[in-house]
Amino acid sequence: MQNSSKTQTPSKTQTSSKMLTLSKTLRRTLDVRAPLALRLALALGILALLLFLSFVVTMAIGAVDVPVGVTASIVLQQMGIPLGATASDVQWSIISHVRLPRVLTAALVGAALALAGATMQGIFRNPLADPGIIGVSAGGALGAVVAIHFGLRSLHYLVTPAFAFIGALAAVMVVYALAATRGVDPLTTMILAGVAVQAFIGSIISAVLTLTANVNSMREIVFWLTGSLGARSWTHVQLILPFIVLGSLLLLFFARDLNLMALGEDSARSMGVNVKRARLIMLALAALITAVAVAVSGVIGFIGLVVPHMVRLVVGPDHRIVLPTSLLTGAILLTWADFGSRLLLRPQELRVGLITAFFGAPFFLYLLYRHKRQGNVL
Amino acid sequence: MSTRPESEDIDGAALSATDVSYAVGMAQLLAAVSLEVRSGSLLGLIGPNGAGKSTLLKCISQLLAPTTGQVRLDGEDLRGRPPQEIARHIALLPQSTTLNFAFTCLEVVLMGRNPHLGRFQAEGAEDRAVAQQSMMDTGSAEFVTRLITEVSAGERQRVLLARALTQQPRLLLLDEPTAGLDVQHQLQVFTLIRDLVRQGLTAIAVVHDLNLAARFCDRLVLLDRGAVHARGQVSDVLTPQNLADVFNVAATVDPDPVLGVPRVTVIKALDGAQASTDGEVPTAGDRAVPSLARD
Repeated sequence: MQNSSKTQTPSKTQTSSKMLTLSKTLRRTLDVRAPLALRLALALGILALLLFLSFVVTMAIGAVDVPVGVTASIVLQQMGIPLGATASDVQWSIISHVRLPRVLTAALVGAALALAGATMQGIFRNPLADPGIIGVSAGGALGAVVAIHFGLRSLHYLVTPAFAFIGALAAVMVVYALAATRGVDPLTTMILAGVAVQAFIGSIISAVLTLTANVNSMREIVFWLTGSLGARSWTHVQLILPFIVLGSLLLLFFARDLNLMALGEDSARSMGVNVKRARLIMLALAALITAVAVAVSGVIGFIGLVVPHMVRLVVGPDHRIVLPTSLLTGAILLTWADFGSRLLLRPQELRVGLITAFFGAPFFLYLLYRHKRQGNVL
Repeated sequence: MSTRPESEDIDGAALSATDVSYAVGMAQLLAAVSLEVRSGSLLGLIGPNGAGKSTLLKCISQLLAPTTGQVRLDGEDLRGRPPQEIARHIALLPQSTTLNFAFTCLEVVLMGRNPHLGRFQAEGAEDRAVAQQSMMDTGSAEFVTRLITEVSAGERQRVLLARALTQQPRLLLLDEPTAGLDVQHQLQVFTLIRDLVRQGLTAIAVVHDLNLAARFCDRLVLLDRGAVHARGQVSDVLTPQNLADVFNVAATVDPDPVLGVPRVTVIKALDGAQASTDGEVPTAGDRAVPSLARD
């Protein structure tokens, strides 16, 4: 690499001093005293780059391997940036018609689940909260199970998602109504109502499973309960994209309110937050994006629970950073989880919900152990 | 500062509450409570558990909407004002603050700027300057990068006080600001509040320790079962008779030999309280205080 030994010493010191400056700059940027916009820009920049790389790498590898450079150029062209190598028709078709919609669905679902999880943990001030805590996932599962059991899914491939979506929102409304009517402490009541509704729905699903005579339907139900992103098309992407983008953007409006609510309801209100309204809107938005995600992917656990914890370890607890970084991290992680589900037992495909639980649960335990030693809850 | 001619406030009253009542269902938590606080003074709210002290603070800060009655800050009625606007004028340090997230102390203090910021506006240099100033005022400047979950109780209270000051309020409401603190930190926090009041802040504090109240408050309001039992100068409120009536204790009040302020010595709990049969109550109390409360 070096041209001569003479230039080596100065260039080395130069590099090391450059590295020192860089690391100093990095540390200064990550310090709480640095402006928020700077920290946010740095975190989001890094994650956006990682997301793009994840897209390209996970799409390049599969039953037919496509060179990474070709994959990247196809993605860029799809984004309207004509750059890089030219692809063959087969490569173009595999990437843009099969793998890209699937990866995008994974990213959108992961983003929605992680953001909803971060929001729920903030609202309930509970590290164990996840998007399913108010019954969204259970309700979605019930909707899908009903659609499958009664053979409705053969009418149209979007019938199951539609039923899941309706079931998810219906379950949330039931939980909310239960908590709102007799709520001394609405948050605790809501968690308890959520647990009850989940258990109730679980029993119905078991009953339906027992009654399902058709083996295919039964397999379908079991598959749906562990989540999958296989064979997702552009229609799926187009269906969920507007909901998730809009819902996420609106949620980001409330990031500072979540910070203040972390000090307790009285403190937040005394600092000018309309806690009841903010909480209701955030719950509705988080439920909405979760319902949309569940509708196309089935039940995928642990993303919403673990990602916010990972993110807070690095960027701290400020929700103005935690929410957008959770969103991108969730997208990245589910992209890789889906990649694992395609690859690990090739040519068989694992359920992506299995992957997230298999890796998510031990990781969560590790976080728990770490926090115990450090003595913080979050 | 009173601008309204019809206001019947005492001269220079920054805050006046008039006939404030608050009821939840059948329970009347506050019944026609009135009080005034002079600008640049510290009013102490004392009274037994359940007397309505915290409820009164919440009514003043409009966290609870009084069922009837008025709260005026510098003559302006606060009813129906948007919460963000009220938060620019009144700060509240609640009795307990939950701290589930490992925010740094600076982040917590900066939260006090919320009422002054637009929804998407981040804190600017000016907001940081205000936060830094209030951290210096409360002696918490050195905690900037430390986690609020990791500082001691006394340090945390100073940080939370800095957070309230960062709202730049005209009126500061403190709900038992020294609860759970040791004597050194109790003294520290009240000395601090006193300094802030000397610099012009108006404050109302719920105080459980009567001797701290006597030492640091300009005036006192004694609440009993949701109503004002006594109000005025410390020496007028802290009388053995009042203490017997409201707290159901036999107590003596004499000038503290060192500080000169009234000193309350509680001798024993009187009839009606379960503690009166407690064998540990010194019998000497019977000699020192004749049965005051039985009149």
